[in-house]
Amino acid sequence: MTQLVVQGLRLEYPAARGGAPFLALSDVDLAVEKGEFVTIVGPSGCGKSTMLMLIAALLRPTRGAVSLNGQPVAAPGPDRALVFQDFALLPWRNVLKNVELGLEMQGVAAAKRTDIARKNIDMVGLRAFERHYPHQLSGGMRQRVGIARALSVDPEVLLMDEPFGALDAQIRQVMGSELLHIWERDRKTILFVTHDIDEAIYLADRIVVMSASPGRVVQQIKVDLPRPRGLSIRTSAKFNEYRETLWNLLEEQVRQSGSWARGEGGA
Amino acid sequence: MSERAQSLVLGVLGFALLIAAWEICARNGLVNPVVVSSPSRIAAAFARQWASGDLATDLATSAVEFAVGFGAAMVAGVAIGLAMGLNRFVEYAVDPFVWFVYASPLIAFYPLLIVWLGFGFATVVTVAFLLSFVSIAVNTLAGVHAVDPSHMRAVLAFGGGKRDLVFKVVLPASVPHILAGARIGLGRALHGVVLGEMFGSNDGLGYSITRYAAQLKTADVFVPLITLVVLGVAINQASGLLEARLLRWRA
Ligand SMILES: Nc1ncnc2c1ncn2[C@@H]1O[C@H](COP(=O)(O)OP(=O)(O)OP(=O)(O)O)[C@@H](O)[C@H]1O
Ligand SMILES: [Mg+2]
Repeated sequence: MTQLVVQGLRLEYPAARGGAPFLALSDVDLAVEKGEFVTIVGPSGCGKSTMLMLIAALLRPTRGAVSLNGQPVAAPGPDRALVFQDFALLPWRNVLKNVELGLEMQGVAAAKRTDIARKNIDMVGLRAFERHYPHQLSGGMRQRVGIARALSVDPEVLLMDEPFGALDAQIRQVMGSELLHIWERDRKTILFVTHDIDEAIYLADRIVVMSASPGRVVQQIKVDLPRPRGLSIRTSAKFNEYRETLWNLLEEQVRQSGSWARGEGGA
Repeated sequence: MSERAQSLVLGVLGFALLIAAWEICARNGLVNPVVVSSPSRIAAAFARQWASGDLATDLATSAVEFAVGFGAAMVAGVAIGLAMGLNRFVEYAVDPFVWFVYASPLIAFYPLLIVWLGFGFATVVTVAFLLSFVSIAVNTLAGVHAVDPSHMRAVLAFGGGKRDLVFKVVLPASVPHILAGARIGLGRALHGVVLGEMFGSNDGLGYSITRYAAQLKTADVFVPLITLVVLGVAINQASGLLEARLLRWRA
């Protein structure tokens, strides 16, 4: 069943003083199935974050529309939850209070809030840390909090913008496989932006490749690797084929844009 | 002995030596004890003012003036700083007044304040308020300006509104700045109370200092003076402890 539809999406950022408006996305079309894990890759600055913000309705499209279960999305809501690259935890709140944030916005009663938050903190393995403040946690632990916070509102779609981008390679792999574990429990729809080619393949049912700025969808690749996937799958021949395909596609996009900005090679 | 204990012991020792030297000089006539006074005379004056109830009355008067003046400055300073930080137009409109109050030697206004507000409580509280509220307002404003947009984005993404932004992000994020402003404001409010009492009141520790000095009762001058010093140190220590507690979340 198709759950999330992005249709003819276009976004112009308003002109800076004296300049012309900046076209960040031009005519993006995308349909996502319920329960699908979609990863999004593309050159730096091609509008991946912009697209997630539009789906979250933190930005209004210049043209086109986003709909969820056939309903147009107009405002941020608990049916879509964001996980940020910079974690965006509130430093004056401990882990428990951070995870409760989304529930507070929805007016959930205090006792129930704590219950739900604890359950999700458990799920990401931070039970012993619920009274810790963000500055007392490692990067990986902070993003677990970010994930628990997003899952707490029980969203239909999880929007993840380079969630592991700030973590070093090893933690990143561990976090990826833990995310798959969590996802396999209830199969929430996930849109996951990444710069890391291996990560894009390892996680995805489908990879969306975007063009250089202004962003469009140039190619979609279905990933036919068996699940559940262990870390060793990265060394398989099939994985290698995907890696090569994706690498070539991205290289072409990056060459067209003339910039090799942020190590899109990833692996 | 730990570093901390060492510094405490040596500090107290140095202080005790100074007092002892003073007393010895006064007794040997090296300094004139009537003009300069001496520790033993000051101790006697303390006992006298305590027994008569004068000290307690002065202390109570000054403490209430301080609490009211600083309390009002805290409320007004945070409210005005927030309003300025959240709304550009409020900032432009209020900014000149804030800097006027900050830059002018406020005590020059005391004759006017006396004409407007009368001699005593209202004038003293107003001087304390005016002296302390700007540092609180300006620091609050700086706190609002320093709010991390990514924290706002998190609240908006989870469906928060304007109210949530103010109470769940802007205000808590500004707490370190507000406390820094309050710390400065505390000192300035105490100054304001003393100055206000010296120039515009017939009560309180500040007034007693001028009155005893005019009567050349040097030992008696030291009683409200020392009380004020102790008060200042105590307020500073307490605010330091409160700050440490409120800012546990900081790295
Ligand atoms: N608020 C804004 N105003 C103007 N231009 C913006 C704004 N935000 C982003 N842009 C521009 O829009 C383009 C797309 O930005 P976006 O952050 O969506 O790209 P991205 O694909 O997420 O990049 P990255 O890979 O670096 O995360 C970039 O060129 C960026 O400079
Ligand atoms: Mg981005």
